Amino acid sequence: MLNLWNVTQKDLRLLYRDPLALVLLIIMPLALIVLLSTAFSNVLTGSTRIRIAVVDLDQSQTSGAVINGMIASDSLVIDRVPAKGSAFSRAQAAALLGGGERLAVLVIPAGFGEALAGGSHPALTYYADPAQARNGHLVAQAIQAAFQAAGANNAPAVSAVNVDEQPLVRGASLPSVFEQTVPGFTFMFVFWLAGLIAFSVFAERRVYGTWHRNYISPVSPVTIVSGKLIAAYVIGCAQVLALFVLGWLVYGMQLGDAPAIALVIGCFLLVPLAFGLCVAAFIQNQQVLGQFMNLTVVLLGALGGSMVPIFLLPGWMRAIARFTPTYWVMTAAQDLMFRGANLRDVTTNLVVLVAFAFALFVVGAAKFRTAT
Amino acid sequence: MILELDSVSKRYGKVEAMKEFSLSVSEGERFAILGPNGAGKTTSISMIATLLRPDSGSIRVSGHDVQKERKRVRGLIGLGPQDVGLYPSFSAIENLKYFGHLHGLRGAELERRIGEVLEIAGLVDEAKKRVLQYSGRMRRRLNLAVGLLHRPALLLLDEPTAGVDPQSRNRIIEDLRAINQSTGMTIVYTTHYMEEVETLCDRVAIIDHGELVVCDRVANLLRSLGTAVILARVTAGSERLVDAIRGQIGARQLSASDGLLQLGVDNARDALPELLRLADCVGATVEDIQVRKPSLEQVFLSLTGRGLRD
Ligand SMILES: Nc1ncnc2c1ncn2[C@@H]1O[C@H](COP(=O)(O)OP(=O)(O)O)[C@@H](O)[C@H]1O
Ligand SMILES: [Mg+2]
Repeated sequence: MLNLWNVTQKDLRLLYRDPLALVLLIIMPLALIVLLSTAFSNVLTGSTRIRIAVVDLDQSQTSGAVINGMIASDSLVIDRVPAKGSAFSRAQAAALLGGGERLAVLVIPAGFGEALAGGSHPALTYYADPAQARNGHLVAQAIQAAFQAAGANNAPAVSAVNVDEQPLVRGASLPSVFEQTVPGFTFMFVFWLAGLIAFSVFAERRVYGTWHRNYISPVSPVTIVSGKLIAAYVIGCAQVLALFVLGWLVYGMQLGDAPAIALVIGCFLLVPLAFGLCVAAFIQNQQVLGQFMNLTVVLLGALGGSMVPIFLLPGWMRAIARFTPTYWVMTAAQDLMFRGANLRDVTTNLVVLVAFAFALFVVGAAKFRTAT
Repeated sequence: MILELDSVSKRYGKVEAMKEFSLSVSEGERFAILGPNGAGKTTSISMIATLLRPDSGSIRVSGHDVQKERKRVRGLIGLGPQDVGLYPSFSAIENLKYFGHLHGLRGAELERRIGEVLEIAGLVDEAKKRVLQYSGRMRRRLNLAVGLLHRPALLLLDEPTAGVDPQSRNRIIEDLRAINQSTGMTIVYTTHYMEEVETLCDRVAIIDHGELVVCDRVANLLRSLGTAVILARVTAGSERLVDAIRGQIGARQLSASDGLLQLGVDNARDALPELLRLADCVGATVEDIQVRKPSLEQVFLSLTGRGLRD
């Protein structure tokens, strides 16, 4: 046990003093997070008019006037959705929000005009996209303003309308910029841990010549390799923690069910670890190793939903994505972060991630034994 | 016997790196494995150090089989690999601490030993510098220090003096002698420098092309050449001269390659005029002639027919 700690400490120190590790694990993803988030948010704030869908279940003169008033407003783009019957479901709202270009669905209930005329304060139902929570107040403000404008002509009591904000069903919501880029690039670049493990094994065997010294000490080879893997795991945890805390503190990224997220990521980090063992065992050439890792990191990032949000991927790519561990950790993390999911909802993801790690570990360990 | 090799063989594909090596080293000896590049020195050391498995034969360290009792053997040996084995981003102290830990050394005892070996390696002042900033020579000395740290019963060094300037080489040799004399640690080391072996070692195994040419006391090997060696450069008629010498001079050893004649004799005072007379008789031209004390260089030449530096 003491030996394992000594070896782990040694490998931690090696990684800590390796500028490559810092660049690959922290600086690269951070640069991409900042760069792409800025680019995205410029696009978002560029459109000052907020687009919402309005469903008129009342079909009264008052409701018509209110909607016209809203259409006339500068701050809103209104998609008038014809009502089917007198009821409106959450599923319908989700469908209207689905594409992500509408921030909210406003429902004017049946009997709205009468209630208003009778002097009471009827409630409106407002379905907001929780992924756009940060824009929620803008939407509410815009609706209030539009009502005010409409009410000046038609209904004096309109300013008192309650907007009943309804959270939407899970699965229909989209990530905000940071809820995409922070976990996305973190999980993408943490895969370099595999490369760092393989580089380190390569260096000890072929460059430092320390492998033999370790190997002929009374400490078992299993301990020597385990120490390396544990060190990489610790570094991986530190990387995720650093980037997530940054996303949370600086960018207001939602953390949702944080302990569950920690568990999911804890399991996910086993995958690059086991993969590192495979890479170290199968690739004995430093140049090939570097290029292979580059390719792997980019491919996993692109397919697994790190670079491009999964909902934007075409169907066939979404099918392929399921073969990447990145997909499973991205979906689990995002469900937990802002879709209100709990640990039970992401059990499948956890199982798949652990299975990935286990399979890679078995293959890697077997090959590693014969290769060294 | 601290080390015993019993008909150990090893091949890499077609290359026979070791053919039936048998030798033994007793406790406290300074023993050299001497041979040119590619002779099988690293292979031999790696095998003793449990890093390679022999194809056949057995190796024992203090009576423990290297294959069956690996862990036991690993506790007994210290290794200075040919390619230095150190972490470049660590300081000397950090390297020593780590490898000390691996050998179960901790606390005050570890500190004390680190001080000791740093002293031996002459690195006390540079102990906190990263190995990255060390010269090749300092790295070698630290490499040796790491091998000494856990006070192994058997210290294995693979070419500790290769690629080092002559002055440092002498220092390393003197250090090895001092370590051996003060601690009684057995030293088995490989080299292709013969002078070193003459000054440092009690016994030597000379190997060439995977064959164990001879294993004996250095003094015996030197004595086998007589008391002197005559080296003569013959530019014409060297075959005739060799034939003539065979019949006439009581040479302990005679070899000729590329016109360089080597003759081991008991009495150079008598043999020298005789040689010149014979050359005159058979019409051979002797350009240059020297009389030397016998050295391992000549032992190697006489046994293999080749110079060690070929
Ligand atoms: N891993 C290997 N694979 C194939 N041939 C090897 C290997 N290691 C050494 N050899 C060959 O075995 C012979 C002995 O090598 P080595 O023990 O390294 O010699 P030395 O240390 O005396 O220079 C050489 O001919 C070398 O080319
Ligand atoms: Mg060698």
